[in-house]
Amino acid sequence: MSRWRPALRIARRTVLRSPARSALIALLVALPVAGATSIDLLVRTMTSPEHRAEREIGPADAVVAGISAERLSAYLPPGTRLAANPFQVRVAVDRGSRTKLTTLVAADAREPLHGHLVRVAEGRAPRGGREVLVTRSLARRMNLLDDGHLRAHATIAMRRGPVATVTGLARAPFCLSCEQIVAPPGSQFARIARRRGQGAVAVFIEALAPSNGSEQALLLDLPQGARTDRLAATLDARAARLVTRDQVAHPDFRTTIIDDSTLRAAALTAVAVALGLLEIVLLAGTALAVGARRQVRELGLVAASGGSAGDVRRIVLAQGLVLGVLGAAAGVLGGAALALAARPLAERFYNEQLTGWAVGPWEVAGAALVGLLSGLAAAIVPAIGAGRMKPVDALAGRFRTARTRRRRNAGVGAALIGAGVLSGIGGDRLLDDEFRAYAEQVAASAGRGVFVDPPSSDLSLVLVIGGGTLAVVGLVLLAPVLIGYLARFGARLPLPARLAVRDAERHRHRTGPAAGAITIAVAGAVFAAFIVAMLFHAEDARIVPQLPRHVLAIEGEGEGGRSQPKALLTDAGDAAAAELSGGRRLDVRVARTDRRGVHLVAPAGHCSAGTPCGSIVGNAQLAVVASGEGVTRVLAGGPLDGAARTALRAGKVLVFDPVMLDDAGRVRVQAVGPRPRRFEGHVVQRQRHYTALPSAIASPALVRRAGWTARVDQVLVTYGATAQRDDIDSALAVAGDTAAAYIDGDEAPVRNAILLVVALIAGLVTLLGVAISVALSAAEGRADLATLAAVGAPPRRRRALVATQALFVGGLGGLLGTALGTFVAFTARATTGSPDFVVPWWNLAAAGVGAPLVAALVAAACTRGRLPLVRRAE
Amino acid sequence: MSQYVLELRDVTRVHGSGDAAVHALRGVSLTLAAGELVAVMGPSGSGKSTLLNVAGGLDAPSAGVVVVEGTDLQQLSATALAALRRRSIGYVFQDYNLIPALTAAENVALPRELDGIGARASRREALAALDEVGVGAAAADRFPDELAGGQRQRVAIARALVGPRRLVLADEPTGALDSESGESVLRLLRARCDAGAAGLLVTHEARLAGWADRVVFLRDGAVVDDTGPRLDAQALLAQGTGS
Repeated sequence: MSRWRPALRIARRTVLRSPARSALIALLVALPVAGATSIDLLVRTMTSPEHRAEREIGPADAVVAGISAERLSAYLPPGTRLAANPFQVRVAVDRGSRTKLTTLVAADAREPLHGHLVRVAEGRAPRGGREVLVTRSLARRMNLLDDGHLRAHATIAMRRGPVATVTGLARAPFCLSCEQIVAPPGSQFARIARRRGQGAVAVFIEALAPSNGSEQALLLDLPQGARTDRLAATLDARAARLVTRDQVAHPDFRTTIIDDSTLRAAALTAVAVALGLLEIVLLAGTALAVGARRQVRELGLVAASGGSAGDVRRIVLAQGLVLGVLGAAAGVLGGAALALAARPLAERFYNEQLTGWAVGPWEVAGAALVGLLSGLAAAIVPAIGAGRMKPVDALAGRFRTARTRRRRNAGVGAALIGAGVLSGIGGDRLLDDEFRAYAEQVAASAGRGVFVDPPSSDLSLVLVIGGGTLAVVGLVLLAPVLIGYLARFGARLPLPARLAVRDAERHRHRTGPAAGAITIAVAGAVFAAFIVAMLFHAEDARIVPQLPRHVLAIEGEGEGGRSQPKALLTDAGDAAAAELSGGRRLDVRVARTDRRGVHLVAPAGHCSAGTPCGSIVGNAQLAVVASGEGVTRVLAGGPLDGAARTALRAGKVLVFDPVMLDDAGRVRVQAVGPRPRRFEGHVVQRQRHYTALPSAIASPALVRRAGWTARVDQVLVTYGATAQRDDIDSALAVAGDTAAAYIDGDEAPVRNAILLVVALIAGLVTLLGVAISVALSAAEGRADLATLAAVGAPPRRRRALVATQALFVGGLGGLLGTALGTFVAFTARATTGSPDFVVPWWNLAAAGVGAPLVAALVAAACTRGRLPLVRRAE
Repeated sequence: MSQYVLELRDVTRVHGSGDAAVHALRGVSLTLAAGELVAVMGPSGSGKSTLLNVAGGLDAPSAGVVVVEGTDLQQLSATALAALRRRSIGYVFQDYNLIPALTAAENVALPRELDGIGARASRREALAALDEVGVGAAAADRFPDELAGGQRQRVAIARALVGPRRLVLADEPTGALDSESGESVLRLLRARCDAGAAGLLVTHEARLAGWADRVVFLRDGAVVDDTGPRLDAQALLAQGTGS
């Protein structure tokens, strides 16, 4: 310990004497600590037991189910407050000439025990009758705001019902973006909404599941010192159930499932975090290496004063330790500040407000410890190099490293890259046959509504990711050697490039780690871009829509599986069609026996690639139509051709998938009895499969001959392409709970945003690595630049020199990272589910070419043109 | 136990090999006894600094033997050499003698702290050493950039002689000082040698060499002249009378 004392003393003061470099290293150490701390704070708070309890039962101490309020009161201690669990119901309200479906929550804004459901954000609480609150989202949608505030005398009208006065804006703390009307329980508006609305249910309390006791739950605010165990026993004897706040916060039934996918995700996260930390160590190590070199004479003095190689190493390590401590402390404080600042974002992401802060002290301490160790790890290589210096060289200001060490690093690096490549190829080969088969199945089942599981293998994943990691480490070790190799071609370059390349070669202690850090970041970003692009492609290749575009469907099966009468269905269809421009109702009749429907059965053992044997995907019903009916266009994806019309008239069943026909060309239909009936079949080509539409068509004559009937079981409403989202919402609102429409979402902006974020991350780290390298180069190379000035070099030379230095380091890291990321992505393509290898060209160009160019331009722009005039002798 | 604090026997130092070989020292032999101050003079590139580096174990000779207080430096490991520098050998350079991040007292105490002596005890020794070289307590806690040039060299001499060290190797210690400061530094070095230390002083100024007991001349790595030991008055009279 005594030998660490002078080392720590020198380190502390050296850190203070080089504030810029020290701040840079401390910031690099602080960044991951701050990130981990802020994420831990936010996620822990949002998922904490206290947050759960607040969400479920608000400020209540307990919740009771299975007993009425009157009977319960007899058992409650004096001073207990009681409130019924509110209900919520879907109601249709008028919105100009349109209708909107929204949610009404029957909660009392003046009742503290309903505070988790409603709070008054503006205005006043309703007092009953026909007074309500609305959330800001709903008020905005219903055009009730003026300059962001509730308009005076605002009202809201139930469809064909009463008009309510909006007395204020509500805030639903655990559903911030929800569109809700809040009316006091028992108020006239709430009673009417319950009667006329759809699906009135009590607000769900998970803690009462699975007994589903939310319906008559009572929220209790008990006086101080109340014995909940005795109360629970008393109620239990009367077949009621009491759940305390603590039990709500820590439910027994909640289990954490750890399966293969969890472990896989954890392993991938661990690899990503480890590479991220290696990134930090490399960048910080670059700065520490430069510091050790600038300190070389000081270290020589220590050796001359009797310091051993170990003492010299201790001085450099101590700087890493000091900066690690500073960085860790700054990271924890910064993380806390970041969490505070990011609170609105977190609330928007979770759609819930934060109710307090939950801190995981061990987790934060762990993050700080990792930061501290990063600082120490960053100092290891510079410390070893400093310890190997000869005292006489150090006193003369020469920092030499042995050539044998460089050769050894090159050998190890090349071996690691070789091992990584072989491992990746091995992992790819493992799934090669399965992947080919998968790609064929996806192609064969395109548009047929069949989901094909992609191939997966844990061993393959380990080989691919493990190989990629080995290759990354190998490239980091090899980067200085590559710089030395490329520098040989410097003689052929113009002067600024020649100087930059030779400077990079002479100062590989700085440029090597910087290029290595850029390689890691770019490889990770390129890999992520490939994976994201292929995941999007996999989504598109396997998409199975329910309905065609511009079609709204109303199902005949209502709540509890009960069939809705035809009149209700057709009325709903007409109402929906009226809300849509060009709306037209089409009834879908399906074949049935007296008691049940009939459905198609795939031939046993008759499978084709990509189709599960013996099963139908989606709606297996048999639609009953005459050939000229308009609904045929929707079901078949277009008008029937002559052959199909002839076949239908001839009593054949039209199917859309050849696999539905057995070897004799017949279709099997299951009705009554154990054996399906067979009919002659005819295949109609349909571009896509829609899971909500019947899978076959039969004529009315066939149905009669079979002894079946036909009944309207589905109503389709087609509409024009000009229909807006609001029109469709209105149509859904009036069509009822069983209505659905396929809305073609434009996912391109979201996908492009994700790929852009990935590209930006690569660009930022490239800029950071280049900036560190160039800034340190400027500090180390002042004497060289002074010589340039002395021999008459124009000032723009400095900008050109700096730009070329940036381009060299950034370009090398960018190219190596792009190549590595592409290779690993190719070997991992099977796991994404994409049948093709999709190349995100823009991301590749941005990472491999764009980022280094931008880094060079930024470096040149930030450089003063004037060359320094410094004292050459030190 | 050798009577000499420092012995160089036929020491040669060659840098590089083949056509690029540079003979920095060629067969140099030199002895230094306690109480003796020897000056080494010669033109630039004559091997003066190399001689000092080899004498103090900072550099290893290509041939020959270097013995410090009876210990052959060639037989020592790097760790043992470092220990020898902590306990037996002190260095004073032309400039950049002191570690900027340490105060004057901490610089002087550094070899003792590296030797495992406690902080308080090391500081006491350091303050005593500074007092001997005329640097007061007020300056002891200042950083090197807050001290004058002459003060810095005094602090360097104090560090070179703190603890049991008896051998001082000084490489142009007055090179960066004005003549008055330089004279005071040499006077101090002379006084320390008179008190029992041994000093090897590299200089290119004849007036400073005049403080030495003996002057050795180097050219192209070899000793070309040696003034021999300083003669006292009795010895001079005996020479003059031939008796």
